Amino acid sequence: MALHRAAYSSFLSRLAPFGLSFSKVVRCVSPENYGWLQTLRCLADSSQVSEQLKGEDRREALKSQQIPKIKRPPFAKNLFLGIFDKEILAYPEVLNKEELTDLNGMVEVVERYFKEKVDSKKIDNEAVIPEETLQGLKDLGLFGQQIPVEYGGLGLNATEFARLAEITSLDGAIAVTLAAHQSIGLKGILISGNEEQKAKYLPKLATGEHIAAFCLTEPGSGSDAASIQTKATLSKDEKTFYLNGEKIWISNGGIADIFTVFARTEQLNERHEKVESISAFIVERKFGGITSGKPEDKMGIRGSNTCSVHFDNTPVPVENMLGKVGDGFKVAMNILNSGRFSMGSSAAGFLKELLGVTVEHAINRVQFKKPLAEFHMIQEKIAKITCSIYAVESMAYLTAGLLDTLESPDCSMEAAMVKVASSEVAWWSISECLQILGGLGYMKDYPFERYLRDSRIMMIFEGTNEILRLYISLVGCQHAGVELKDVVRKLRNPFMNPAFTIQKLLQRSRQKNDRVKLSMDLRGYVHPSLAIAAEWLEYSVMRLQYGVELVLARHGKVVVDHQMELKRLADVAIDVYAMTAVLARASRSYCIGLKNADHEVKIAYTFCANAMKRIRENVKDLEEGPYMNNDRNYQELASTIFKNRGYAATHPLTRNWY
Amino acid sequence: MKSFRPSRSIVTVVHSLWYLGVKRIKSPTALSFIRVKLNRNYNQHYCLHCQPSVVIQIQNFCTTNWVKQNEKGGGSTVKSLTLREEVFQREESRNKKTFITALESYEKRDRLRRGHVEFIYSALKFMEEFGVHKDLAVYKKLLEIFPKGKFIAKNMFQVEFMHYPKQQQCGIDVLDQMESFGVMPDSEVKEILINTFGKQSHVFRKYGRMMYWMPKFKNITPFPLPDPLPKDPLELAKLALRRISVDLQTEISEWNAEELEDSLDKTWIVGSQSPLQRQLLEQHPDDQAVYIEGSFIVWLRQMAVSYFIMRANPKKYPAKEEDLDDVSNITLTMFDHHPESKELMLEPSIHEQEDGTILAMCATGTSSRDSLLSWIRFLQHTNPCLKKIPVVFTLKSPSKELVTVAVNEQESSIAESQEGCKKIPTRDKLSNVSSNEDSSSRTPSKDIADR
Repeated sequence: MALHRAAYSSFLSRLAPFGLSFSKVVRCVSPENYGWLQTLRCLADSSQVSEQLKGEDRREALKSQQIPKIKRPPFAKNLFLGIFDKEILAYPEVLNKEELTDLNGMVEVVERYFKEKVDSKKIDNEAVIPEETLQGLKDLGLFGQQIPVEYGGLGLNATEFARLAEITSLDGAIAVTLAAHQSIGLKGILISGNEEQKAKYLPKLATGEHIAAFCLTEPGSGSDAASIQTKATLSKDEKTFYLNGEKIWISNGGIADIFTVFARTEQLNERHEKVESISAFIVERKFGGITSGKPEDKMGIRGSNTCSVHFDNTPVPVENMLGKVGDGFKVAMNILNSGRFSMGSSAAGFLKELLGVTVEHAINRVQFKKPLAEFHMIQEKIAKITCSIYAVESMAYLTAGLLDTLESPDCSMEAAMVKVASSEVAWWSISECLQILGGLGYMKDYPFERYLRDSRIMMIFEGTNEILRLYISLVGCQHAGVELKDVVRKLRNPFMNPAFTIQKLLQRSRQKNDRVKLSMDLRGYVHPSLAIAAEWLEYSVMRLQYGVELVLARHGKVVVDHQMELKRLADVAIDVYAMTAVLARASRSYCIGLKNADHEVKIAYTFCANAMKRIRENVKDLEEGPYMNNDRNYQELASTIFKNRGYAATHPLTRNWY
Repeated sequence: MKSFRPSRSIVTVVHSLWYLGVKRIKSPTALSFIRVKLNRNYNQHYCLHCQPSVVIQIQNFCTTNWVKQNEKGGGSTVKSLTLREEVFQREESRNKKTFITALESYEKRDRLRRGHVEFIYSALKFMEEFGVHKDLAVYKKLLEIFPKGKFIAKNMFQVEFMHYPKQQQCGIDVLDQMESFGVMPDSEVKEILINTFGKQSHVFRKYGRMMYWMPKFKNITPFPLPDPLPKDPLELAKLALRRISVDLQTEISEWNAEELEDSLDKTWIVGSQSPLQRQLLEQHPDDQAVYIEGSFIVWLRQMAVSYFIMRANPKKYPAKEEDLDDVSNITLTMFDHHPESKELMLEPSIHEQEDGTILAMCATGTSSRDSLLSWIRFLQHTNPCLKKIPVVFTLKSPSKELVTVAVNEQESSIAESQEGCKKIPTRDKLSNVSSNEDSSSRTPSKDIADR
């Protein structure tokens, strides 16, 4: 019996993806990585049980069925150690049949609304979203996308949320208004609020009756959130906090009714000394003492409301504190980390739309008796834009899939990677689309200039890309540092550990010569037609690990101060994550035979080849050090310029003598 | 039941034993090898050592038994083994609803599902006739007819020796028919098969292979078409023209001949022409004819659409000797102004092929010569030069419509002589027709005939 089971299971495993319709590669089904597959199998089979249930109950039941969530080590952090979780190469399929049908229905409705009812040009010109448009969005339930159903929201999971973000991003102002409301504004209540707070605030926020805003930034505190100055003082009876201070550039600041405010509080520690820390509060506008400044006139996302908010002795009841006293910084970081992943799908959403317009133009515009589409440089641009869109889309949905399928997912680094990659891809791609349209793209008749202006903010808000790059590489180095403690100590003291040093030198000879030994067998985890790209990915993972080790050994603990090297590490890590997502998705598409799957394979090869080239370059720069890779020059040049308070080179027409 | 008289005594034994409720016959005779499972799945399970004649007898017994019982219960008078087909033949209208009614009537009538294999085979035969051969839901319904649980192999020997071979083969044949009609199973089919035959069955293996290959082929066509195809011939013609127009800039236009007063065939016309083709037509010398050729056929799945092309004689491009190795004088085509450079020549466009230059394509509702004439009139709006260029109809087979349209039989016979190839004096006459409203009484076919 056992024998025959084994024989057949090995036979069956070679067969089709029975219901497991993702990349089914034989070695995927080895016992040690069966967990993921099992979950997905549960998802696939759940359609059977669900048939007896009706409507809303069914939806709820389906959600509750998705529990065996799996525990997996953090993917992106482990990349810094050269550990690659191969299961991620089975691109997650989160939604079952019913959920997908529901979602597609929703997408269709929202898309129709955006195409018919939203006049983005007018919103941009008049710098305000009309009341009836906002009301329409509220009626569609878009103000409570991630709020659970029991509080009157749509109860979407990360994947569904990302899908809707593709549509809502068609108008930058609306996208930002929605994001400020639910990705950050009310996220605090969702993540850290207690039951009473949730029951009190969420229902009205879900319908859009109340709009939320997130108040962190202050005149003296932008990226450095820990330096905020707004004060919350506890009253004598210890029942009320009084808020005092100014917050600036608050999205929805003028229209919001509920604010998540971060402020300094003082309390006594065990030794009865006064300590200051940051706490988070839910503040209603009707508490009084809140004034909003006039809406800022912005470069892009002009329809969204951004203004300063003053708190003047605003009384906040103690029960409105989010989390405990002193939890504020953690709450803020959690909120920001959890909201970022959807920026990838937002960017992909509007970029796909723009690419369509651009392609139409390139086909019909004739120059030198040929349509633009036949010019190689245009073809290159179109292909590169496509690869970039594909990459951010894959990254966004991979991250969303991880958030949905993992138990207590630790995806802040992945989300940051998605945010950095997508914002930069968006800016660059729109600019290239505009370039293809030439003069037309520069005109206000076409949406390109508006999208270009709108997209610029993506690199700035929700953590600037610079800060996020540091976050990615520092968190990665911190994670790696725990494991590499002894190695780095020995590497930094070579003469105390001669044997180890010599051994390490020998080990590294391959890395030094850029001939990495591949031993992870990633090619076994994707479709055979992507095997080579999988080897590139493996090379890249090994190079990242080598880079981390190099930097840690070179700088030890002060690695924190070497931002140019950290930036390179972050870039390498982002590229590795992007390659992973792209390969996993293309492999899945090809295995299950989606439309144009061969095109996806080609995209994957193109993207991976370019990414590997960038990675090779970045790691080479890390290896060569600041004197060879210009880092030193950058620092010296900059310091001269700062000393001269501006451009320091003399004008070329200047003559020293006549 | 009492009227049943088996011819062989051995079967009588079986029958009477079964009648008494004995399900297993154990005796030292040859019968000891026969394990008759008469409770539900009566006619299949027999030992390898069993004599064929006995098997046939038992099968006959069972089937006849079923018929007899049917007679009693359902009141049917049919006595032949073709009874299962009768269920379908009896249905008056042939559609999904009646097919499902037939399936349900079987399920209702026979709780024990006797003769289900034969029933499924006859159902398979009728599916195309009922138009449900591409309907996954119906196939699921058909697979649900198999009783659950019984056919699942319980040990490796049963697996190896194809447990319940006839039923498994029947299941495979159902899947096979699905495959040949391009119906892809889903995970519900998987559940049904697992519950019926088990994971270690040949049917499930067949399902596995199908689920490996069919998704891979599902989207592989480079010419995807909507599913189902539109029924409207006009929509089909648009799809067909879109498919055969290789130029990305091609515009598909739609006209109705009713707008033309002179037209005889009041039908739709779908034309395809790209800006480049218009340009080529404009450059076409006035004294050389363009030809209308057709009809050709393009297939959209099972539907054929006939189309016509407007062709000019191939352009002769002089073979130019150029020394590609000489880099001493690279021409900057984009930046230098070459007013009369004869050296430089544009690459032939995609429309200029060796056997001719394709200038436009069309499909019409009737494919008649008159409708083609209307097409040319419509084309004259966007291609004014067509008023001067002579148009020659070289239709391979004059369509029926031409005959019916003709005013005068004699004229039409003249028109159809000369190997169905006619030159139309478009230079003066057609341009007259299109420019002069008064001459609208003149029918186009008369134009043809006048020559």
